[in-house]
Amino acid sequence: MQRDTGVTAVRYSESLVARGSLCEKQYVGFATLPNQVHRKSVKKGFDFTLMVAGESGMGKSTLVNSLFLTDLYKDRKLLNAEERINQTVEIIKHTVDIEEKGVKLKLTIVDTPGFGDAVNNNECWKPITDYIDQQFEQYFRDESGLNRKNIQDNRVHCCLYFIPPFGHGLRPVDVEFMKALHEKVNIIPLIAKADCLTPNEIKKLKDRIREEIDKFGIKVYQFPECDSDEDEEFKQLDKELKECTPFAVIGSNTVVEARGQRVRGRLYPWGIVEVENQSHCDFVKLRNMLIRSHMHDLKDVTCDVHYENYRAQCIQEMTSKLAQDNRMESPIPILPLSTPDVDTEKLIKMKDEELKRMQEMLNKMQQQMHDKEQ
Amino acid sequence: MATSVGGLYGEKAGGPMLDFSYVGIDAILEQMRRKAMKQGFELNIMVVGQSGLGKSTLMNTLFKSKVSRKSVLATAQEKIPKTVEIKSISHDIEEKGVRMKLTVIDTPGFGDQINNENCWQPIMKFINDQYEAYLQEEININRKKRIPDSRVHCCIYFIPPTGHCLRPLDVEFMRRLSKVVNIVPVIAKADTLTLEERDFFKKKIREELRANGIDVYPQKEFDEDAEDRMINEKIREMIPFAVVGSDQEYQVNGRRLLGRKTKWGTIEVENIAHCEFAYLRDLLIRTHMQNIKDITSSIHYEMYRVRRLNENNTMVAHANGIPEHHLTAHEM
Repeated sequence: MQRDTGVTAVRYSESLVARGSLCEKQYVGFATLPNQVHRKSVKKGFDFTLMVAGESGMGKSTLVNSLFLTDLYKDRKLLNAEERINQTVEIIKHTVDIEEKGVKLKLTIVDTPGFGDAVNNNECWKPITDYIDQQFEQYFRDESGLNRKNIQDNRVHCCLYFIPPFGHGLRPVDVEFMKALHEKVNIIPLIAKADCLTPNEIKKLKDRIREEIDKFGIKVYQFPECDSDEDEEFKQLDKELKECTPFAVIGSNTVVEARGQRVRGRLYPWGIVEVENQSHCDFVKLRNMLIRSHMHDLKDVTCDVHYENYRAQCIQEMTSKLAQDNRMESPIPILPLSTPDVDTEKLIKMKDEELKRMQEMLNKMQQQMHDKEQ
Repeated sequence: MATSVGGLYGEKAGGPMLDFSYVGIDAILEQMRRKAMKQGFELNIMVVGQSGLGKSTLMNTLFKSKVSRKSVLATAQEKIPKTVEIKSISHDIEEKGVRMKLTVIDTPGFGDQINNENCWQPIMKFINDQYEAYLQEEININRKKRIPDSRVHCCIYFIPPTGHCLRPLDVEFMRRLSKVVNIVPVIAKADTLTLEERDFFKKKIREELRANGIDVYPQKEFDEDAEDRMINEKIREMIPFAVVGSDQEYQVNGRRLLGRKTKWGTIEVENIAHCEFAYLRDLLIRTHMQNIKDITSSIHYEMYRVRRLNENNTMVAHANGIPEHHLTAHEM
């Protein structure tokens, strides 16, 4: 790394190895750095925005309540068929603050009532894609602005998409929806109300759905690869997780008694479905993945991939529009990019030359006056 | 190793969970920690002070490793350069699985000339250049996932142990640079001062800093809450730290310690009864390292960015033929 004269930089690689001596306290102390970062995050708290999409009656609200042990939908009024005829897809946000073991989470659930409910569902995902884009745009403006102290991150970190269990795989609306959204948000497809399928039927449906996701080129959220230095148990769990997608879920907030224990479940005449029993459904896998092991990664992929794509696109559009309109102003403060606008450069050069000429004239005049006096 | 799995998911794998109220959101801390450990950390420290004040030795002592310019460059000249140079050396160090890329930026030639006017300029320029480089990366269309951080997080300023008061050069330098970077002033080679002289000197320095409106780290206005303020007030009452550096070991009371051996006794560098090196080390490394980086990125860097953005608006306005608005040029 060489800059102007006087600045040199050299890079070495060297481990803090114990020197030959028996000096005590080889410990420098920067191993506490992760804890210092911790402390700050705990004070600030975290936020997470989860979107749920799917037709009415797929159990979305119940699942959300089950996942986060809250009751976000207390005062909800369900519309009947007539009222739903002319309903358009709405976007409704519910926010709840959860605290556990000192860690604060501001959870936002973005609900999409009306999706897929109408008779004609053409482009019913448009309000949803518009919403996601709006959040990106808002963040982009905030990030490019002057005061960046308290930027609110409302970007959608994850979208749970509910596939009905009644069909034989993905329906056209499922395919179109996921394709419209897979490059804007992390999509996690779920098989809803899985208690109406036998284990064999579930397996067939999952295989079918996985095939079709591949076939149609839908990019659902991919779990990051395991590190080579993780222990075997972790790797095994990770493998199982990946082979289990899409998760077949059941939700419930009612407690029933099964096998002598109180569990969350659904009571049928022929038996009791336990939500948290891994042999009954994948609820536990979904919860563990979503909250306990991959929440941070979901946020990272949103920031590093989806948002960056949006931003790059946005900037390209803006600069091409500026060149067209031949204007120099921009709606948000941006700095000259590494390849500045040709027109701006020309203008600046012109002004510079003008200034130079004027300076020369002044000098000449001064010189003349000086000569005269002499 | 069922325990590690259980630890991650908060339950015994396989059985139904009986705790109805545990969601598991605190696991996000562990997720963050793993990610941070994988990525590693960066730290850039600048040392400023006249030749011979023990800057290189102190760096070596802080990181218990030969990280300074003198230890690394084969042609370590002891000649004083004609102008202030900026030499930066990076090392990858590791401790208990935490990896860090440490960059020590040395400034040989500072304050050594006969006429030292404007000797702070190359240093200001270097600091601003790092901000500029980061800004350019940030506004790029295709940004890197993790922008390499070469911004100076902390500038340790070495005050010669005169025992009287700050010199005009010290005041000039700290006044200008405390506005763009975190300054940690230290009294160098403090083994020439007795405890009373040291206390007097420190008090005098603190008074002069206050009188000149110089805000050194930890700055009062950036205390976030009462807890921070309490901790930082204690530190503010102790700065500048009187330090002694050494990379030689001696036998003292049956233990091998870093120190300086003289005819009248051995000065133990890490003994707080002898000097305040341990406090400096704890502040910089063990407790406030993250905070120093945060203040650099969220305050100093942001101020630079706002200035640059406003400059650009002026330039844009100028190109459009709109009369300039008055701008305060940042003094160099």
